[in-house]
Amino acid sequence: MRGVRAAALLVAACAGSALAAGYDDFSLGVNANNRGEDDAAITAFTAALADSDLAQTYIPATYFGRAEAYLRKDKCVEALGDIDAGLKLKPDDVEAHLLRARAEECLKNYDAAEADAGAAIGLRANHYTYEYLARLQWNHVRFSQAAANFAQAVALNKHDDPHERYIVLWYAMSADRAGIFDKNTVAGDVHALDTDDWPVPLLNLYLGKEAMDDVYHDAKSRDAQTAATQKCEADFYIGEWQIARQNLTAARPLLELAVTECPHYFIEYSAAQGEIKRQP
Amino acid sequence: MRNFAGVAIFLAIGLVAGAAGAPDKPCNLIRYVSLPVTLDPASRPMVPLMIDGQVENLLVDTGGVFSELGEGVVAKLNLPPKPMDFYLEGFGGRIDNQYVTVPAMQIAGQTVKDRPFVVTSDDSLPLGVDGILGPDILAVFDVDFDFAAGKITLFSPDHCEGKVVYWSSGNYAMIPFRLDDWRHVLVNTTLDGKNVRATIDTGSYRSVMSLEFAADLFDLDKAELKKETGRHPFKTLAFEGVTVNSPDIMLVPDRESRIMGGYGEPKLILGMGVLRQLHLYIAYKERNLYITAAGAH
Repeated sequence: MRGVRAAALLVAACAGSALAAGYDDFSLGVNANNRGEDDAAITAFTAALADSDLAQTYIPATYFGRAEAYLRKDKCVEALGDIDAGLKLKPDDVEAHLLRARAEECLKNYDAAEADAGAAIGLRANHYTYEYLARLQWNHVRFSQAAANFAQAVALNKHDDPHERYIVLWYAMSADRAGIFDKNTVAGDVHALDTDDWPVPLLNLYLGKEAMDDVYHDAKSRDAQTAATQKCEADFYIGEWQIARQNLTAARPLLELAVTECPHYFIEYSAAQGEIKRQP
Repeated sequence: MRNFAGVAIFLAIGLVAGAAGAPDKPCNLIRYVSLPVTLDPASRPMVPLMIDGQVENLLVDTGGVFSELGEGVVAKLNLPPKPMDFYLEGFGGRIDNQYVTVPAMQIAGQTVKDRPFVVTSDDSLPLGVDGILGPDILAVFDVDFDFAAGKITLFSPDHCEGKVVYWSSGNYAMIPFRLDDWRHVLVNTTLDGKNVRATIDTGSYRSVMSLEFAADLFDLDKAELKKETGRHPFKTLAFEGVTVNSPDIMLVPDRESRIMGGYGEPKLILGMGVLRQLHLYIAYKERNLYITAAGAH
């Protein structure tokens, strides 16, 4: 084995070097963001921007990184300012337009948020950007627009993966809430999925092919961990199904169960929270 | 099951080694090109490359297999996809089974003709990324990752052994590595005093380790680790003279990673969380990795 020419270099994760202070601060900021340490990220990115030696190509990412940390702390104005500063330098950054949509959403500027998501679609029209816009519209109770954009996401998603089934489910649910549910269209989408795996039983509920009890039975017919998450999903989607049928009394406890049972990073968790807030 | 019958064409065609001719002074480094680094949404390095006359942003992925282009770029360039004799299975079971031949790619001051690229779905690429620059192309060169200066430089691999560290007059580490069949850079590391084989992966935004392997090696409670979402306060990661304090390493169950468990190596993927703190020079031909701190002069 060849020897080491010079040993004992030490790269301390928490200590910067005076030789490239801007980059070291930037690097600390990125790693702090990855760990969800918001204050540390903001401090490090702020220092990076104050240093004069940070490579120009990293400056947009520094603004966007600090904006992410601000958003997690609900500092919407500060986040928006950083995103605007970054976008001036890198106007074609698709992810930054979606980040600005989050900041506008945080400020309850719903039209602006949707416009930003639309700008992202203009830069890259794929299932991800359409789905992003559709979710915003769902949050804004614009169900028919959400359905139209979920339909675009379904059309653009060519991959046979579990997420595709959820996009179809959100399309069906949005159309149901908007009163434009078309059985043939949804049945065609489900047929194209070519699977009966979860969450297809929920789609079958919307299609009238499966009863609620059967859906819950399907949800629970897996290992304990999977069954628990499928049960929480069933609570949310069946709650929404009940709302579309004006059965608010039945819907509310299901949505509350979803909030209690679903992991906080599940889309169903935040969607159930939002729905509960909207209900009388 | 993968059929590797057609893999050879990806490894053999269009490489530019030696294209610049033999150096007059073989001990000197010959710099081909410096490429400005921008970052993808996960802060991984991207560089612009001229693909058939258009500038495309490619993620630099030392942990990849083949260089790839997104289907949007392929359509824009009007390149006809062709079936491969093998397929690549990506995260979540995504399948790539087509390739295109790029008539002209400019890299390192040379035009490479008829270079094959695997076609991948745009959805599998981060937003703003047009494709992947993988080790099938990178390993033709020496690759210098100067993250602090925001540039990646391609050098000729022909130079005197050890005559590499041009950027610093201070201490550096020279770490021998092994290349696997896919030209992944494998190094021996010591994590909290235990030997762990790792791969250098600029395409991974964080460092990742097999949860099961870590639990066995360090006698950790697997159930607790899963509850704590794979966080464990490792103290030091050392590889032949370089020590990283408090390395941020995420422990991922093998069932989820699908690439670290059950067989082969590595058990540790060193991603950008650690690598961005370093200045890395990968001398692929020499099989040595040269490292200083990122900002060393």
